[in-house]
Amino acid sequence: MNGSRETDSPILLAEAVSKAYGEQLGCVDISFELWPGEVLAIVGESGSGKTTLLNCLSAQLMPDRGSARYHRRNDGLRDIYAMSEAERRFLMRTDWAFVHQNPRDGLRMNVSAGANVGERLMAVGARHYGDIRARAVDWMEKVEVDTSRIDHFPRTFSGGMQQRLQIARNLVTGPRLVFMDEPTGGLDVSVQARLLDLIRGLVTRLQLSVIIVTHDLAVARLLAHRMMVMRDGRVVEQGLTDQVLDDPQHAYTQLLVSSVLQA
Amino acid sequence: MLQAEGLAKTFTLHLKDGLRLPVLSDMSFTVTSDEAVALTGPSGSGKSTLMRMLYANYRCDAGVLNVRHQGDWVNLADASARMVRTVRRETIGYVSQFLRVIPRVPTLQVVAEPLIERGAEEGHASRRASELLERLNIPAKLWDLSPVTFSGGEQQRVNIARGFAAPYPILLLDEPTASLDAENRQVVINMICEARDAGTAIVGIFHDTPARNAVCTREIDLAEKAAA
Ligand SMILES: Nc1ncnc2c1ncn2[C@@H]1O[C@H](COP(=O)(O)OP(=O)(O)OP(=O)(O)O)[C@@H](O)[C@H]1O
Ligand SMILES: [Mg+2]
Repeated sequence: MNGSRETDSPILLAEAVSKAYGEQLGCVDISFELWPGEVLAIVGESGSGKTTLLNCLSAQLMPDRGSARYHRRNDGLRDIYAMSEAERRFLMRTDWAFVHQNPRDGLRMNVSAGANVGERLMAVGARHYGDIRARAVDWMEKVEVDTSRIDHFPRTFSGGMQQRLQIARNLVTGPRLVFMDEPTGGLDVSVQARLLDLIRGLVTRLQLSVIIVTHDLAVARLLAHRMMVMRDGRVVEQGLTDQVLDDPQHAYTQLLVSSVLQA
Repeated sequence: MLQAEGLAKTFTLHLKDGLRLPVLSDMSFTVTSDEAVALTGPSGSGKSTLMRMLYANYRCDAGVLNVRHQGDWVNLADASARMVRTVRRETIGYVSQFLRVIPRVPTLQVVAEPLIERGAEEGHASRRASELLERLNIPAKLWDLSPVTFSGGEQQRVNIARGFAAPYPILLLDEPTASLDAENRQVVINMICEARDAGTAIVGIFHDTPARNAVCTREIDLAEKAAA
């Protein structure tokens, strides 16, 4: 069974990705491989370039230099920056998903919860109303949002519910690569624990590849197989999550680890 | 199963002006299957450090750490993160001194997880997990609860059950019998001896001398090897 999980190609291969905002450094010379089923956390304090990097990797921002090759289902590794705009938009609707820190950026607040989930399906060609609604209900159950609220607007939901709905909307189309930017930021601790638990379960069950940005080392410990520590736009250390957290080599990583109670 | 050659470890504490703490140097040894090797030495001599290096939880500063993995030798001292994950899933089990509890995950699932990760069918994995929990005297009414609120001894037994769920060729045990009562200590000793006799290579730390004598076929004394 392991054979089906391990292919001989990374799903994403980033090489020397760099992006500056004028004089201001965004991210510098970032290289790594992401393999199918792997969860990679990008950690570092605010302003260290995590979100810039994530936006470059998900082609929402064009880097100044570097390449990011994505393994498409049918034609192998292709540089996403060399694709046409239409090809990239297609990837974003099908193979990729992006979970934003603020549900406002990932949901439409004034259409119903069911339509928020159904919309992604329609974008990939689903037409049958009954099917779409059934799959929306199914996903609302998977993310533990009360299905009797399928016709309510997300703006009437709590922060945790909105975030779970955003995840349903993103995963309903069966993506292979999910980008997450601080998905648990701004939530109460108990709500956060429940959301992390949900994400952890889905990632394992669906064998998703995930790149998650977080400043919370406990989130990285819980979800990520590997992590990358960023400072001033550069990666100062990367490796297995438990190795980086338990035996940090770089002065900055040691500072981060020693600054939290227990990660 | 395991060949260490010239392993060394020094911690550099950058927050303490780069203070260097040499812990291990030039450690060489081999462990074959059906052997159970005890790491001995006073507190602070680096027993847990070496054990964590064998699991690639700590990096090796120098040396080669060859592990027999699916018929090949893999040098864990410079293997990729992805290779280390595969080796941990298939070849090396590790029972840490304390269970790292993940909130909200029920005990049965904590124990079954290593099997699920190997692709075992869920029913089979939970049956195996129940057997182990039963043998380790964890009452069935606790199986659906997260071990967060369990006693130290209960958590340690859950940890052991998890470590024994999958049949690893190599098993690392960091004080598996500490904080257990006499009855459960005996259960754990029996489990370790059975694994050893079935051909598992075992490396363990046992402060409890009778347990060490019951289980181990050989000792590696870190006091003699202490870094200069
Ligand atoms: N992550 C770490 N960072 C810095 N120093 C460490 C780290 N882990 C261990 N050490 C240091 O390494 C030395 C050896 O510790 P270790 O835990 O390996 O000893 P031990 O032989 O297992 O002791 P005990 O019998 O008390 O469990 C100690 O000085 C310890 O402080
Ligand atoms: Mg110790």
